[in-house]
Amino acid sequence: MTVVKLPRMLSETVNVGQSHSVVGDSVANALEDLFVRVPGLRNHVLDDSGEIRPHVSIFVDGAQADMGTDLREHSEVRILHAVSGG
Amino acid sequence: MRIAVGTEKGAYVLEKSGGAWGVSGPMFPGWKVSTFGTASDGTHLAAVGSNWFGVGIHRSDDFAKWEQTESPPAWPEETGRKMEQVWTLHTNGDKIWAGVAEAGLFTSDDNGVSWSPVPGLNEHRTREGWQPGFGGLCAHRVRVDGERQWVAISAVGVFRSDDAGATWDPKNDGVDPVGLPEDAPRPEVGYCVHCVAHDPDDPARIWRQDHSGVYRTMDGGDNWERIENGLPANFGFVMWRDDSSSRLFTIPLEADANRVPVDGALRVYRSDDDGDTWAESGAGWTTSPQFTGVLRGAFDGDNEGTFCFGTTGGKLWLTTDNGESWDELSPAFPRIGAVSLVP
Repeated sequence: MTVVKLPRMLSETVNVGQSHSVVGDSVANALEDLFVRVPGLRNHVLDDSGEIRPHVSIFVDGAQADMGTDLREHSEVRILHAVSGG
Repeated sequence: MRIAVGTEKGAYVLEKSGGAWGVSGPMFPGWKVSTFGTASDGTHLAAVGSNWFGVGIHRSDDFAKWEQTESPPAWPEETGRKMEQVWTLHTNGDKIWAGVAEAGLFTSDDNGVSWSPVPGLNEHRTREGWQPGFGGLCAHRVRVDGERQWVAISAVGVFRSDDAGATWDPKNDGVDPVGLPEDAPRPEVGYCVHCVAHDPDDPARIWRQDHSGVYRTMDGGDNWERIENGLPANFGFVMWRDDSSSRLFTIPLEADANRVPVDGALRVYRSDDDGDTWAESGAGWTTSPQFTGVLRGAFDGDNEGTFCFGTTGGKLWLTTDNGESWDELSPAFPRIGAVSLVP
């Protein structure tokens, strides 16, 4: 299982916790599983074109990642908002 | 009475208790709260937005506990457009209209749970010529009278549909566009409408605060005329009509390049003759300079003589006697973009 951690601002707006166990061998697959488990989250992470929002960053095990980044068995995926844009 | 305040960072609710205003909030901390609405079943709606996380629609039965919907208005991927903000939520009958940026209209038939685009407007033949104003390319006001509907889009103009939203036509004859020489041919779009209000008993009568001035139409938008007699400036964002008294309200700001009250004198102006003449509304205004603005969504009334507006400086002003006297409320908030009187 992979753990995805949400920023507080996002977890509060969809009334869920900040840590979620998901299944997926890539960031894209893990996020897709997360969006099924947490309805209403997709459009806050991805824009209308399905791309990661410009002021949102994805980190996997401490390194900046993108939708194609591979995940290991116990990877930690963090969704962060940029210092800019708020 | 409760006053809901949507700000750049969260929403707040004011309620008077024992002579003082109590404040609850923030609701939606960190999110810009761009507008409020009420569905036909009484469900309260709030639209939020974030430069980080896009838009959301929240629903509530009591204006205290909110639940985000799963599917806010969204542009189909093939349009290439971005959903930047929900500017207005307008309910008529069982349908809700959402005016959004990038500019477009969406409707909901299930009290705000799901939304469908209005292709007759969103894919209008003039769309390639739509250009954003300072506030973006946004559909910010909707008025509905049966099959006849109006939408105001900055900086594009007013459009009218006579067939329940299937087709739309620009309706801006008589309005001056912004950024063109006086002798230039009048374009079909490019009119920076800031706000509209209409007479529900005769919806063809519409008043309009534009970037270029203050106007009215008596024929549903086919012809517009200037109505600025008595105003200290013709720029601003507010146009409000109290339906019980037919009194009009606007808040003049100096100019587009300096969006503050003339000489710092924050005043509401009112008209009791359908806009023929305007005069300062009532008493109670501070003599202390107020170099602050008032945005289009930050003015609301109950059509029974109570009105409240919020400023970009985060202060609220209230009248309960149809604009005869005004009080500045003590609490201060982040920049205010939305005010709603909640029953």
